[in-house]
Amino acid sequence: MNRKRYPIWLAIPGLLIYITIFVIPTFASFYFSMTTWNLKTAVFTGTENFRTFFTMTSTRAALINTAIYAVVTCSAKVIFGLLIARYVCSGIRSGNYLKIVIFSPTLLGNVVIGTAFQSVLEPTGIVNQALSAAGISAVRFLTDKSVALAACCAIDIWKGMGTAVIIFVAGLSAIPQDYYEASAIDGATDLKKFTKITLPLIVPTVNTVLTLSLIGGLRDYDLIYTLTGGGPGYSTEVIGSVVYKLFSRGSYGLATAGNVILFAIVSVIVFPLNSFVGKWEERL
Amino acid sequence: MVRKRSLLSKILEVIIVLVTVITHWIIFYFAIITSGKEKADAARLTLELPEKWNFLENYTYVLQYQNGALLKAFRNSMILTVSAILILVLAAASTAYLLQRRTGTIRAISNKLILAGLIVPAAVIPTYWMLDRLHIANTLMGLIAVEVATLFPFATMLYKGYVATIPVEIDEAAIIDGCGPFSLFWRVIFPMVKPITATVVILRSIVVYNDFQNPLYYMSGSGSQTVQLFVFSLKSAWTTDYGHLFAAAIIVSMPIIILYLFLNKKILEGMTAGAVKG
Repeated sequence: MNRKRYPIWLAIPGLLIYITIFVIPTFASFYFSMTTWNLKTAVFTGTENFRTFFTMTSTRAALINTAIYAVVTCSAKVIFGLLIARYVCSGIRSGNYLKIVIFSPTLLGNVVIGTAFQSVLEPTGIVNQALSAAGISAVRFLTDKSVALAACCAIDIWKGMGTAVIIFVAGLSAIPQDYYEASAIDGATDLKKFTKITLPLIVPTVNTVLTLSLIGGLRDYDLIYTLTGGGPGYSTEVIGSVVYKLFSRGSYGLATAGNVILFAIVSVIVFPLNSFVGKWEERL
Repeated sequence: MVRKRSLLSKILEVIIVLVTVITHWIIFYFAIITSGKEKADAARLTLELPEKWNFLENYTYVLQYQNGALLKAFRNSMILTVSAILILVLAAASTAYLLQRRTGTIRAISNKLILAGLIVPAAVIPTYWMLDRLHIANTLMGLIAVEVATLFPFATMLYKGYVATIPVEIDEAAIIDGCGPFSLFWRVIFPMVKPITATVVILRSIVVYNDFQNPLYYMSGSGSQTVQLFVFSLKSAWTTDYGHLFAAAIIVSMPIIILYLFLNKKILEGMTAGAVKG
């Protein structure tokens, strides 16, 4: 009865596209990552690509930068996102305005954001004009090895904050107001309300924002690529940009090994994180 | 819950609103005035108004550049966005409905594969290899397929969650009325999942239109471009020509900005679909 009423062919078009374009290439990547490959013929070379990937200067820098980039942008989005969302929800008049403005960068393409910030952060750009008015000497934000990665993180946080705030606002609005009213009768302070009511009940939402921004931070590279192209030197190279560069110069096997490493990192971090935060949520 | 607000908190609010002027409005303002400046004026990168108002000249130049390459890229982006979203909505809704209603092994395996697709990064070069074997590498069709496959897991999860709230009794009633499996989906279920369709259409259109990573891999080798690829190529062609560069960036962002002006409430609501329980 079940089978006849819901014949599987209705799901076939969707599954066919997904399996052909996403699932099969994912499985194929494990094999191709162990080959020297020109898209037509693949010669099996075992773990050589992985050894190369971990020894090349550019790829090693990329592994470290990816970790920094993901952790910094993710924690900033979670912490500031929650604080801003709480402020937006605190019954202020400009709440709606703040939501709309903070979210607006999310709608722009990364190429457009990259273009805009490149000129804003130029040594003679408006940020440095403001700094020099304050008597601070010019900072080469995107071309100085010591600050370029930090600048990229800041721009990604600027862009992604909107999403975090919007999700947190929804999470906060889902907390029943009665809890706050009851605790107010019991004489709870604002700080107590935040730590004893808001924080425990917002854990599922924190989980969502944390997972989303961590995945994004680990695998997205296009904003960085348009801002710095991975430079200066290898100072803003991340796994995604390295894979793209290896792809464009035809090192398909090595690039796929980079992809598999990224796959492993994302899986190893995100899957346990989800169950860990899930358990924490149950305990509370 | 209305609370009397202190003067201090009102002052703080004004300060915070003013901060957004620095963090957001100045950059938008800078982009707009720069797009109306002549080359030398724009290269000074100041916040001053244009010496000579050059908006019309800059925008016409950008639109006519390389025999209207921007308009061609725009047409490609429109075909890409509309086709990918159309296929995505139909594919995800039907698959979600089937997987939600059925029991058995196929369902269990498909669910696992779709959940994993939410998390793991795409294997880009094997995907390119697959497109090559299907003879759609470096074509708009190949890119459409990639966009659908990339967005498929999340859209399917959204639809599945919603289909779960539709009682099976509705299916039964429709069958008694003589609905076959296809018309049950198309004429009964699909109209009922409209809220999710609206969310997917609005939000994922923006994502596809703005996408840069996928076109970079799967379209760079072709003669045609999407708007994002086009702006990226202008970025290296016009390194110091900020007036024209910003005019191009603004033209390209215009459709989304207009969409946001009219639909900001819907877009913000849609963002949280599937993100928050309850």
